[in-house]
This record gives sequence, C-alpha cells and structure tokens, in this order.
Amino acid sequence: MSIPLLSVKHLTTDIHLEQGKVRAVRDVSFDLWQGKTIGIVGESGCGKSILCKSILKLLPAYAHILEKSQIIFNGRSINNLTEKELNKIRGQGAAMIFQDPLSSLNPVMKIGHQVTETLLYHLKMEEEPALKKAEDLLKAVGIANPSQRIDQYPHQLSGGLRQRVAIAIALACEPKLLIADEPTTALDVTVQAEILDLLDHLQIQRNMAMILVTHDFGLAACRADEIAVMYGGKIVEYAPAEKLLANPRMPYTKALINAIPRLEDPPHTPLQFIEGQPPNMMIPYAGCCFAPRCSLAGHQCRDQEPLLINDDTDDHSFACWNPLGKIS
Amino acid sequence: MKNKNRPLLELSNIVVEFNADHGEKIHAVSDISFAIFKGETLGLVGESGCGKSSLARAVMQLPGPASGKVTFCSKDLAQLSKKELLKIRPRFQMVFQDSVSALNPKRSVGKTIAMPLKVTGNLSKNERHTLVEKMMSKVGLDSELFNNKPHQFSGGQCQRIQIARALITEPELLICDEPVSSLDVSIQAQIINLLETMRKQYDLTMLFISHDLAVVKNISDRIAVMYLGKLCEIAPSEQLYQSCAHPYTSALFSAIPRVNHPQAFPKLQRCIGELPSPTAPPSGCRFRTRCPKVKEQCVFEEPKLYEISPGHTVACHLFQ
Repeated sequence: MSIPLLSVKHLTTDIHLEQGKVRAVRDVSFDLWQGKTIGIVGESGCGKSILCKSILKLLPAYAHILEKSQIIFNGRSINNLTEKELNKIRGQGAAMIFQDPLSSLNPVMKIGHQVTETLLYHLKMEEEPALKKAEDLLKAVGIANPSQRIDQYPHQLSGGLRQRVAIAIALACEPKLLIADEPTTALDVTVQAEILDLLDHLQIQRNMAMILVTHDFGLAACRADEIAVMYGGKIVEYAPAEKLLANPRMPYTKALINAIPRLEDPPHTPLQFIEGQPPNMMIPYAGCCFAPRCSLAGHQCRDQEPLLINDDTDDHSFACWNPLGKIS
Repeated sequence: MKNKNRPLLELSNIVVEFNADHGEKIHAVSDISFAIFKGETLGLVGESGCGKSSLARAVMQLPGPASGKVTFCSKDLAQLSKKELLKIRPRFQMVFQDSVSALNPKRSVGKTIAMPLKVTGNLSKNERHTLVEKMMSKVGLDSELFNNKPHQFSGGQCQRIQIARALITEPELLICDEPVSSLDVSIQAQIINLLETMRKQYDLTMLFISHDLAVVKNISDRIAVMYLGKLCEIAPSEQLYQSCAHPYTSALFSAIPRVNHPQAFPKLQRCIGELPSPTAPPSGCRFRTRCPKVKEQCVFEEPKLYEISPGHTVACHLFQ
C-alpha cells in the first residue's frame, strides 16, 4: 500500500484552564488509509473529542497543540498551514460530524442555506445549482422530501433528520476523510442503525476514510476496521477490531468490554465494573495511568510509563507492563 | 419471587395527553394496561418519544393520567385526596433520568436525601440525620459529604444521591426512569449493581425504564415494549430475548450493536424511517408506517393484545 491518507504522529494537546494545564491528548499516533474506518473508543473525558478537533485544528484559543505533533493529511503536513489553507482542507479534504446536531446546525438559518453554504464557499457554485445539489444531497442521506425540507428550520426536524442534515453538509464537498464524533449518541438504536448503514454505503461508494469516535464498544466492534482504545488522553490499545475484541491485551480494554451488559446473559447477572475514578488529568503521573484501578498493577506500573508496543504481531499494540493472555 | 400473583401496581387503560399548538393533542400514552407483581422488576423499553416517561409520571401522579386507573396497593390513586396521596407517597418513589435537573443545586445532598422524610414523616431532625447518614453509606456515598452540593459530585454519584432520596422512606415500589442512560458503561454497571442490591435489601418492586434493551434485560424479570404510546409486547425477559414476536421488538433487537456479535446485523428485520408524530399517530397499528411486515389489515384495524404463550402477549395482526 502507498501512503496513508492521514498520519497522526505524537499528537499532544494541552488545554489551559484557570485551575491549570490539562494534557488532554498525550502522544497519540496512528495511520488511516483510504476507505478504512478507525474506531476511537473511551469513556467521557478520555480525550476523544479533543483528539478529533486537534486533527482539524478546530480547537478553542485556550488549547494548544505541542510542536512535536505532526498531522500529515494526503501527504502534506498541516502543521504550519495558514487558516486560509486549513479552510481548504476542512470541508473538501476532511469534514466533521458532531454529536449534537441541534447545536451544530444554525437555528435561525433554513436547512437549504446551511447545506448550500459549504457548496458556495468551497466549490464556488452559483446559488441555483447549489440549491439543486443540496436537494440531491439531502435525498442521498435518506431524507424523503428534500424540496420541502430545504425551506424548514432545524427545530422543525426530528433528531434523526437533523443528524442526516449534518451528514449531508459534511459530505457536500465529497471529503476524503470524515470525522464522526459520537454521530449517533443522541439517537435511538433503530435510527442509529440506519444512519450508520448510510455512512457505510457512502464510504464504500466514495472510498472515504472515517474516524468514528464513540463510547459504545459494540458500535465500534460492528463498524470499525481498527479500534483504538483511549484512556487518560493516550491510546492504550490499538488493533484490528476482531483481534482487539477476541484478545484484549490491556486490562482496561477488557474491563471496559466486561462492563457492558450482554443480551445473552440471564436477568440479574451481576455486572463487572472498574473500581475507582478515571485519572485527574491535571495531576501528572509517573507510571501507567490505569495502574490505580488495575488489579494486575505492580511496582513497575506505578513508576514507569508503559509505551505503546507490539508484542507478537505487528498490528496489535498496547501500552501495558502486564498484558493479558498471549496467544501461544 | 414471593406473592407472585398479587399485583402491587395495576394500570388499566391509561391515557396521557398533552395540549400542543394549534389545538392539537399529543397522544403520549394511549390505552395501556399492565400489572406489576410484588417483588418483580418490570422493564419498559421503547424509543425516545414513545411515552415511557409520561407513563411513569402518570403512575407517580405527577400529574395523574387523563383517563384510566392507577391502582397501587389496592387503592385507586386518582380517588385519593391530596392529603391521602401525600400519606401513601412514601411507599412509591422515583429516580429521574437527569440528575442535574432532579437535584436542587442549592440544597446540600444530606438535606436533599432527608427531604422526603421531612415532608411525609414526623421524625426529629437528629433522627432524620442519622437515617440519611446510614442511607448514604448504603448507596456508596461517603457520609462526610453530607453538606456538599450536587455540583461537587460526578454523574454517577448524583444518581446514587437520587437513589438514596428515593429509598429513604423505604418504599415498596421504585420507578427508575432511564437512571443510567447518561453514564459511562463502567459507572452504569455500578449503578445497576447498586439497584440490584437495594432491590434485594428492601424487597423492592421496580418499574425500570430504559431505551437500552441489554440494560433492561439484565435487570428485569419481565419486559414491556412500548411504541408511540401503545404497548406492543410484554413477556418474561428471557423469553422476549429468545423468541420476540412483534416486528418492532425484532427491529429493536437487531439494531443493537453488540460487542460479541459484530456481524449480527440482520438488516431484513430493520424498521424504516423515524417515529411518526404523536400528534397524529397512524391509523390501525401505529407501527405500520415502519413495519417490514405490514399488510392491508394493519391500516384499518388496530391489533388487539394476543397471548401467544403463558405470560407473553403481543399486539400484532400476525398473531391473530
């Protein structure tokens, strides 16, 4: 294979708050090839969203991406791009869908205008053909009566429809990369399944790469080629989806999977949970950030930070001094 | 399960309606009847907007239903005076979905938990204080945090505060409205385990509402499935999972992304589109607009509840 579409190297993002500095993303590296989906899984506060926003440089002013971080998109480093050059990449090269479509859509702007906005800005289309294209886009994302919808406002649409509009906007300029930050968390399972089928379909059609951020391990298992598990701002395990699920090496990954209630278990089966609290990101730590909650933690875990390494296979990496079961 | 045959709560023909703009009516709950037996946990599932919470509020008399009867401990709650209702309230309590809006931000958690005792009982302040401290440790909260305010607690801890407040009067019936839906899986597991411990300790009967079938199956003895204000199917949990009958229930099951069955996405059973507006629900069977197995009869005729095996009823023309 040639070069990856997106290559993230040593991405580190600090957020400066009144109370002090939070290192929200710590030395994250991964590659994403065209047509593939990487699922980023983790609990709230693990840095998933900041990671996504760092990639597109959509961070607030009080956040700061460290110098050593490298983001190479389509063979080009976007580290030192001007805002104008970045805007060219956002939309046309890479687009993003956010968790809450109600707050990502403009409440006082008609749906039609919100979809055409990107077409007018990025593709320099004329108003009329843009509106026509907007209708086509809305139709492509499964909205039944696009000609009526373009004259409506977001509050007149259901949650599922709003998210479809957000997807239509993200896909308007046919991006090579789609970053979906919890795209279906606010939706019901039946609508979630439909939206994700739609994304699958569009992805195959356009050979688009996708970063699917979710707190739902099941969702990542069903929809991603590779899964990266994040904890305390770091990727703690990274592998092809089926490998990661069949044989999690990092105790945190396993604990997270075990905490999910299983449909096949009989009623009243006690659930396993992770003791303790997620790490306070304001306080620097020496060892593994999961060590305080890990039953397998030893001295080394508390004193020395484990790096993300491969064990016996090239495509399964994990950051752990006492990894779970090797395959013999 | 003791006294399995004695219903603690009986709902008959419950209707909940709200007034919307332009004189329209939102039909939130339409003619729902079921019973919850002493000692059992009944799970109630359905998509957002299907009327789960409206039904729970109708049971709690917050406010009562537009029509229909809520019978709790052989008493028709609608017939009770305000005073009588206040007297019986300690025996049925509720845990709400959104702990941020369910807890008074200006009131210390100790006072919040003590409030039901203050309103309904005649204990002294010291007696209340002792009970609250005991309850706090039972639900896994440090009783030294008595004077802290809700914003100083995490989402999971706020749910523990709500559970403590609901259980302080030692109710017989606990209604939980999506108590874990905004929590991370690990915290969700802790709260579910806590509810199970409390259920055993207090001999609780529960109505557990959630949109997550896996969560509901884990905690419930029986599951009722709601769609657009109507009951579609009700069955023992294991039976519903093994052999669900209603096309909507199958659609719900098939839409769940599952860790251990990543390929299990039987697309044929999926339902299409979104929930119709509850202001103008479809004629006949309300699920017909999204049902993969719809037939002509479904348009004209509302399906009755058919019992397809003992304790398993389904409202669908396919089982006529």
